[in-house]
Amino acid sequence: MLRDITLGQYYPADSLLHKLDPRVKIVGTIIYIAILFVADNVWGYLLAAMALGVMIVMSKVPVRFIFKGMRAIIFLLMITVVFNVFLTPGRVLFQWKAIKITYEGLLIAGTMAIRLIFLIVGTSIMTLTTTPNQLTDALEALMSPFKKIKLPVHEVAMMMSIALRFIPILMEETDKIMKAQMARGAGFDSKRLTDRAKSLIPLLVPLFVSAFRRANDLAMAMEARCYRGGERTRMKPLQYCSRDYMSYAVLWIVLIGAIVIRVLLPAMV
Amino acid sequence: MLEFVDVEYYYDSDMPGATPALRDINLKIEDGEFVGIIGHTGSGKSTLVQHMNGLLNPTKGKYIYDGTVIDAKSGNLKELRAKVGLVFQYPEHQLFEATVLEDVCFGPKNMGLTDDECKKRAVEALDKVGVDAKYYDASPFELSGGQKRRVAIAGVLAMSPRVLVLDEPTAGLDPEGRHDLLNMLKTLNDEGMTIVLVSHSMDDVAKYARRLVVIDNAYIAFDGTPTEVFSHKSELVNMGLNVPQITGIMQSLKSNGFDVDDTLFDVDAAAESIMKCLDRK
Ligand SMILES: Nc1ncnc2c1ncn2[C@@H]1O[C@H](COP(=O)(O)OP(=O)(O)O)[C@@H](O)[C@H]1O
Ligand SMILES: [Mg+2]
Repeated sequence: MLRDITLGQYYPADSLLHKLDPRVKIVGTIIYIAILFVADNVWGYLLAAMALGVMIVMSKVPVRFIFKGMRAIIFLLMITVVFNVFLTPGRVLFQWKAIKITYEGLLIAGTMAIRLIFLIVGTSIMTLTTTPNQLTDALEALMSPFKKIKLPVHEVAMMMSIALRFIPILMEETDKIMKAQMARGAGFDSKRLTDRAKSLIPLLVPLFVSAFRRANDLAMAMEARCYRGGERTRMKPLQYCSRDYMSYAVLWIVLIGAIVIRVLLPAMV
Repeated sequence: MLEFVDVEYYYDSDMPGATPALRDINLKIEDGEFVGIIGHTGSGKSTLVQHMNGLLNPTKGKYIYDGTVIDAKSGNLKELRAKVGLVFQYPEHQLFEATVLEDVCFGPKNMGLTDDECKKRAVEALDKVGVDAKYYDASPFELSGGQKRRVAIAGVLAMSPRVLVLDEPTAGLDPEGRHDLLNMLKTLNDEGMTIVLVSHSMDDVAKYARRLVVIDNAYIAFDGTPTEVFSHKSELVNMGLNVPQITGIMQSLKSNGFDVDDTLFDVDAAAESIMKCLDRK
């Protein structure tokens, strides 16, 4: 039941995107988000769609797998669309009593939906092609300028990677404890809210206990191996190579393209 | 009576190329039996036993308890779960109440019994597993590992199941705790409870189970008395299992020309057999 959550999941494959330096992928994702917000006409969105299409093909991740993650946000998407369609003032296309649909409403709802979908798909391509470890290494590297203002960059990155690592473990643990309590006749599907909240105690208490136990074990194991924080060197330091520089160049060119389109071509609304 | 008919189980049946965790399972366990289920890690033992109380339902085939087919449409399974008690691996991780006694009461309470009845059952169960009355009001988290395990098992026993299924109950126990636990299971079995004991240790199950089911790679490889199963030494070794130490010694003796009984797994019987063989010489 908990296995459908694909948030932040990694999909192993042998593709150019997988091999790319994770720093490039993070910067690329940020640039992609920027492109989405720069776009204000059909050509801008077409450019974003093309970029996304090329990335999906290059990632070698099955399309079905990429869109599986969309299920989680479908509800959010629907709310956004419905509110925008019905509540935006403007040229009325259709009216029935108090409900009216405007041209502007449809346009804004449509562009919002496209932006949201592109945003989620774009970021999931990054997480699907980058292992959590690479991701945190890259974040640490990209955030290192903040060390100057005494931000514990290494510690923050370490905490993130541990948190990510623990998500699947805790899910598995939840599944196990749930089954074990169900074997003792517990039900997790009561209709009344108070009953349901109460029925979570036999799940949450052991889950917390186990999370603390695991945290404790991990801290002990790290100390036993003399972990001292940021002063260590890396076994596999991040190193740019020519394809990474090329990717940066392409990214900037696409961003400039998006800005040029916005400046030169008329906006939709 | 538990019965599996052509059961197949997939964890991710919608993924292409998924492999089943169970395949072609045909198994019948009668009331009062003491069955050992053995297999290498990942062979499907835990998956199999979770079918027994309806936590998992077969993807294909049928699982039948006392004539009732158990599947996703069975609705309320509380009754079945009270009849078939399942003790998970590391059951001490599921303790959650403030006191030992309350934790053991959790199962009976879910069955809808009165407070007095719950308490009576809990005390009985704690007595059976050998937890002293002075611990009843202690926090389960303060107990030692072995005691926690006993309390957790009592939590299942308190539902008075007719079948007790234990998934690797001896994992992480010291030899004495192991011995106590297995003896307790034997006593329960003598009193009429059906016992299904999952383990990957031959030595554990050989002494107590009267029937062994060997699972290899989602299939049932062997099903028979310990003596029958141990006669397939080379196949067992290929599955990453082994015969009990005693049987191993007897088999090596025999292959080296000593006329001993190579199906034994009991120290005393083995010693006797060796003495007899030496006397004959
Ligand atoms: N919750 C689960 N989700 C997906 N696969 C699982 C799950 N539990 C077990 N499996 C897989 O099913 C197979 C059998 O596992 P299991 O029944 O736990 O074996 P055993 O108890 O004999 O070690 C293994 O290949 C395991 O990876
Ligand atoms: Mg198991």
